[in-house]
Amino acid sequence: MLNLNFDYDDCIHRSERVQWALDDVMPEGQALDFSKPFLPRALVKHVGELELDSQTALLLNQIAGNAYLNLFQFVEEYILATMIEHAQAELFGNPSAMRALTRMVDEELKHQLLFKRFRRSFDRDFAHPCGVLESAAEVAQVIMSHSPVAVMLITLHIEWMTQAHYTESVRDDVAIDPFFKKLLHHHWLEESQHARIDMLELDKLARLSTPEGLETSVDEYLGILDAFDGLLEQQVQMDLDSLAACLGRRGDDARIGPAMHQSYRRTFIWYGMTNRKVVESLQKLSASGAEKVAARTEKFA
Amino acid sequence: MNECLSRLVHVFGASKGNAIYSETLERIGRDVLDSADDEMAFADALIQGGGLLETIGRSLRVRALLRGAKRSA
Repeated sequence: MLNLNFDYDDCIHRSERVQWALDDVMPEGQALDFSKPFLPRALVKHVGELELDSQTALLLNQIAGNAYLNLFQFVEEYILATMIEHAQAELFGNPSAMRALTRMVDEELKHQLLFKRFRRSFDRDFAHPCGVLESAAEVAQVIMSHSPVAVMLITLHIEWMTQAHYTESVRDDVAIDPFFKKLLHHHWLEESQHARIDMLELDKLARLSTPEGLETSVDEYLGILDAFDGLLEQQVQMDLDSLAACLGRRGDDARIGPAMHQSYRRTFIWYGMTNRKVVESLQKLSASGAEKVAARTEKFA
Repeated sequence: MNECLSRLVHVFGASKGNAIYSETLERIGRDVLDSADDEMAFADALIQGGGLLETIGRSLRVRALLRGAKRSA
């Protein structure tokens, strides 16, 4: 159905070539440097357009950077649970699929630990405590209550979105903190295999679905994105409180709040919905579903 | 060879795998497995057998659910 030109063995070989150890990338207790921004301008686009004073802009960028990594840690909770299910379904079945899936589980768990380490260092070294979303298990429960195809669609969205963030915005940015860039580089290295594994798993599921079932799954995918948008709004409120604590006064919440929300929307929702691989996959699964997704992109741009 | 039979043959060998497959089909009242719900019923019957059959059944149950089987099947 998706006409893929790679298989599970390709994913395993690539994964073996790029694998890394957690302690080599970020030893526990690593000190952070707060002299440079963490996120490239493209990932805080609407905030960048506000032309804030340099201190406020830097603080906000670093608060958003911490939230950015936490959001990955957050969504990887359900990806981990989903991929364990997919691996279990391959027991005594296709050994290559099972190897690729269990490697993915191990890598996702490692990414979660990496981002938790970063957060501990951030909480210790940043000027003030910063709130981040905490209810990862509850969100995992909500996402996984949807159809397996919808769950794989949102997973595909996240994995290809991660690729786009790194290759289009992070890799060539010389202004951001080199250590933060290094974390994103290592995350990207392994996520590129995950995106391919997601496509193989989605292909398996889609072949057994009906056209109506696939269209319903696309509707569910859009519903999950709307729910995620609500979480982003919650994160914005926490970011505004964090900024106020750092500045010792409220910032310009009326301008910064909406810009921050739209930046998160663009980064986490728009980037995935408009990614070429995601769009092509949607078109192959359900042409009408792909049209529905395309019609919703502008809200998140 | 369908996936349920293939797994039983992989684990128990051709002779015993085919025998378990036929017995389990008979127990659930099916001649063939042609839907995710059928695979779910087959998996649930294997789970009743305990031990390694239960392990295979649990894997096939997850497989059936991922392919759209209804939990009540």
